[in-house]
Amino acid sequence: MTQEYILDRLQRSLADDSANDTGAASRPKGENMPSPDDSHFLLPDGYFSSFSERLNGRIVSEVRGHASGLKPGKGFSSPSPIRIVLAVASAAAMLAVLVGTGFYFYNEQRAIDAKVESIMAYDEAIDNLIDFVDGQNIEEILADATFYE
Amino acid sequence: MSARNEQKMQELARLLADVKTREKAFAMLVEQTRSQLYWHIRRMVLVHEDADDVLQNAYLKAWRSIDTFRGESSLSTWLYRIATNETLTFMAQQRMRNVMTSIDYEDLMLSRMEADTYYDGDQMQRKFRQAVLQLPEKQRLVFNMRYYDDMKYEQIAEITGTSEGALKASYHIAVKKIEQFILNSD
Repeated sequence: MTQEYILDRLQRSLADDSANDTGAASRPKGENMPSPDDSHFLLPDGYFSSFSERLNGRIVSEVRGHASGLKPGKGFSSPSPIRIVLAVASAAAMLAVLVGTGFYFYNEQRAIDAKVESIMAYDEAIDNLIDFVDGQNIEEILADATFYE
Repeated sequence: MSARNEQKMQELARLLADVKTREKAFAMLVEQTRSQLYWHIRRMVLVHEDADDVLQNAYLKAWRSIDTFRGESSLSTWLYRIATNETLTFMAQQRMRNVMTSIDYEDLMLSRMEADTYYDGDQMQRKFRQAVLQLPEKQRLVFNMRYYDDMKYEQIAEITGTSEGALKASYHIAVKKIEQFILNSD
């Protein structure tokens, strides 16, 4: 591709614009063959047919996904044995998770209760100590302390 | 689009409306339009793998929303619109991903294109791509549809939701910018 080619193409496209709106002269293209201006863009061999196959696969799986669910006006389609086993297994797993979680929180609550009880006992001991100290001469207490040393 | 193609599209639209024939009609629609849409997307995203992803997503979106097609525009315009939106969304996501890096998104696109296995361009083609990349995204879209696809302004207007006059002006400006870039970067 040369600079002259590009500039010429650009100029011609503008001339087409002012002449009419039918578009530039059509350049025939094969599916795997881009226009000359796109020739630097390559494609894998047989790309478009493999693309269609892949897309079709995804669409078919979507259609089947819809078909295995609720069919309008016909009620539920009959589920396959594998689906039943999977549904039961997932329900059991979910139940196990729920029971496990409940048990965990029950234990946690018990541990918290025990901690609260010990804190209350500690508070009570401090209150008793304050009651004991209250009203006594601090020098007497210190003298007792010295006596016990 | 030729009258024969238009007739074919109308027939496909009729088959798509019927649930019994929908799947087959969609496969035919894909066969009919995949090449045009692929190149439309590829010229924007530049890298084959990205174009492949965007094209697949565009068709899946079209399949899922086939019931919303009211026949107000042609089937091909409707598909182009979906593909265009999907391309712009993809590019916005890529831009967001690179927002923290100091590399300009357009430079990144250019270097990714050159590293792509499915790219084999010479110096001039690279310069031309670079010139097209300097255009704002929407102007680039208009340029591509007009320059490569020979699309009528009327159809581009339906796809982009812009007036024909504005599109003509936009194309004219785009061509001038590209010419200047090519001449000045020697």
